[in-house]
Amino acid sequence: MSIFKLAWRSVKQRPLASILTMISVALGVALTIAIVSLRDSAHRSYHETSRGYDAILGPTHGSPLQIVLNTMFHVGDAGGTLPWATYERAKNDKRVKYAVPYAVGDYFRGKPVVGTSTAMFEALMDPENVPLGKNINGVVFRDGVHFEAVAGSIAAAETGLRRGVKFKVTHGPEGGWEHGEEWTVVGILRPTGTPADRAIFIPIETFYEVGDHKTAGDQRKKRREEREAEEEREREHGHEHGADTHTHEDDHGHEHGTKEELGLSAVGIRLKSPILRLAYVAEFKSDRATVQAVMPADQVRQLFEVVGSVDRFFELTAWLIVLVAGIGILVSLYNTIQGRRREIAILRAMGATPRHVFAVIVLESVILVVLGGLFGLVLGHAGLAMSAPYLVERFGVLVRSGFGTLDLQVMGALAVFGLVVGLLPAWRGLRTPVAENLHPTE
Amino acid sequence: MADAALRIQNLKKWYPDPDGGRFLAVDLPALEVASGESVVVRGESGSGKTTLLNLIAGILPADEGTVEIAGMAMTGLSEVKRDRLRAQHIGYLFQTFNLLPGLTAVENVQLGMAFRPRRDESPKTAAEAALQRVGLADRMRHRPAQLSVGQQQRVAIARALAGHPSLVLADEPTSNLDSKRADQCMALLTEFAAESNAALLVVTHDERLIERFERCETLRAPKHEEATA
Ligand SMILES: Nc1ncnc2c1ncn2[C@@H]1O[C@H](COP(=O)(O)OP(=O)(O)OP(=O)(O)O)[C@@H](O)[C@H]1O
Ligand SMILES: [Mg+2]
Repeated sequence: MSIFKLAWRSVKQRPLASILTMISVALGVALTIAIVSLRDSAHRSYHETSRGYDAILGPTHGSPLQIVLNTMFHVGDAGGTLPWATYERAKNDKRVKYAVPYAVGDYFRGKPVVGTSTAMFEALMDPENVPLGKNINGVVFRDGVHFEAVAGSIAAAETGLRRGVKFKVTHGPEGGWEHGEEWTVVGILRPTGTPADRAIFIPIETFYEVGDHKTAGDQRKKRREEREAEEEREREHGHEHGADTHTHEDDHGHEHGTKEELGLSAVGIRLKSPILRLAYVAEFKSDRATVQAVMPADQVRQLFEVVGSVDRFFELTAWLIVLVAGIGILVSLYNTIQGRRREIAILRAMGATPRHVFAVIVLESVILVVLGGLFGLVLGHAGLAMSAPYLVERFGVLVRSGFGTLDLQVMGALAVFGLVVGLLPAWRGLRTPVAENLHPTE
Repeated sequence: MADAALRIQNLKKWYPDPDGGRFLAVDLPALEVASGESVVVRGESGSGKTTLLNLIAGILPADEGTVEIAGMAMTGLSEVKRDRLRAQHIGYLFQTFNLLPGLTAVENVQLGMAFRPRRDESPKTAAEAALQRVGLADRMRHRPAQLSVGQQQRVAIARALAGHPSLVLADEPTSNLDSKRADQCMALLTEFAAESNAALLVVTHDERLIERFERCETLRAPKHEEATA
């Protein structure tokens, strides 16, 4: 009969109280694990992804964060358009290694369909630094007017896209009308753990071939011509126009096709050296500019400065639940001591020292907290695993919920916590007088 | 007699009285029990029998006098050292058995050896042998509630003797049993103690028991002492 066995028997003697107190610990631990894992996954996922581009050129209408989220994480909307010339200029800039155009707004079964170029598959990498294009079943689409598509792994799995399958896209995520054109899937990306998993990619040129987009472009062209005529008249009347009119200055000298009219959502920029980054971005900082250059790494860092205090609050709340559960164990264990005076006296009569009694009771507390904690870890990870698809879907965050050092740390902390919780009941237990409790009393 | 399993000299224990005076519950000038010997101590209810055994076992500290167990002084030791001496040398058989309800028979017997500072044999093997000796080989995995009163008594006897203690203390071991079972119980206890060469000290007010023992001591009636202001 080891001390451990005695403690274990004692825990088993009170199944209901033991299970209830363990569940309370489990819930706290599950929450803590979920919150901490989510936060860490989000941090890692966002930071890793943000390294893909040195800068993103986006419309001045959009907030910098919006531009980053839409371009790199396929979340939210673009917040405006850029002149096509911006892309042409970036592509021809000698400092730029990759300029990747983006045009968004269409969806297939809820998954974003992103118009881009093959450069994206070279510029963006998975966490192991393998370019997306090297991580594909099949091939990358060809640039130009080829109705071919590459689907991310999750997007493919959830929409049922396979190589060779043809599909049409809708305008807007839900309830949008369906465009007439049809694309054929030529490649499926292997799971990368990046937001690319959730999207479907098509050549940006085909985006402009969509009939409805053309119409929209024509309408926009007409509206702009009307506005220009209007402004012309205003200028003639001596009016100053506001600082926010900004659509027309880049287009001169290009033929007015659809892509020039529609523009694009953003351009991802990878420079030949990150040293050039600040200088490159600074060039776009004129207050009359149509285009702003955003550094994704900066935006993500700022985002987490804001989010950080919130999720620290959640984490603290979760730990508080563990603390309250611990106090529950303390009270419950403390109250059992009164009823266990005879049992304790018998142990003492068998030669147990007060220290033995103390150890048995502390161990009971440790068993309750640690078992509850283990249960909580399993619960937490199971919960994460189950909500992972939703989290990827909704936030583009790939949750890595495997057991790891975090769990070991939590278990270590819980063992110490269980010990601390057991101190007071154990102290009460060791003071139980022996002689007067050796016979049945009340 | 250097090898006495128990030697008591001028042992005294007082309890405080509610009126502020004190009550001399145990007053024993001398008592020696040799290894392998059995002795019965007779006393009326309230004469301090249980208190005496608790003093010998070191569960209660003595106020005066000395108790030696196998040549080692129990009196004057710290609580922890008394616990260790008890764990190593004394088997205690209680009037109310005091088995732990959550443990099986064999676990209860093992418990009697669990806190020994020195062990020379596996407690499990010793516990199984002891249960076999008291005729409970087929009841090892039963819990106390699943045993008859007589069987519980035998588990308690096995627990007191399994570790081959130098001294076995038995407090009214037959008070819960009818006369036939009381006879069986006493026979088992005295034989088992003799087999392991343990000294056996039984306290009782039961006259029927006394005939079984060669030696019988009688406790003095406890005395009330006025408060000395
Ligand atoms: N903790 C205590 N405080 C005060 N008095 C006590 C205490 N324990 C026992 N006594 C008193 O000491 C006397 C002896 O008690 P003890 O239990 O030793 O008697 P006993 O001989 O074992 O009696 P019984 O045969 O009824 O078991 C009793 O009168 C009892 O009232
Ligand atoms: Mg008594």
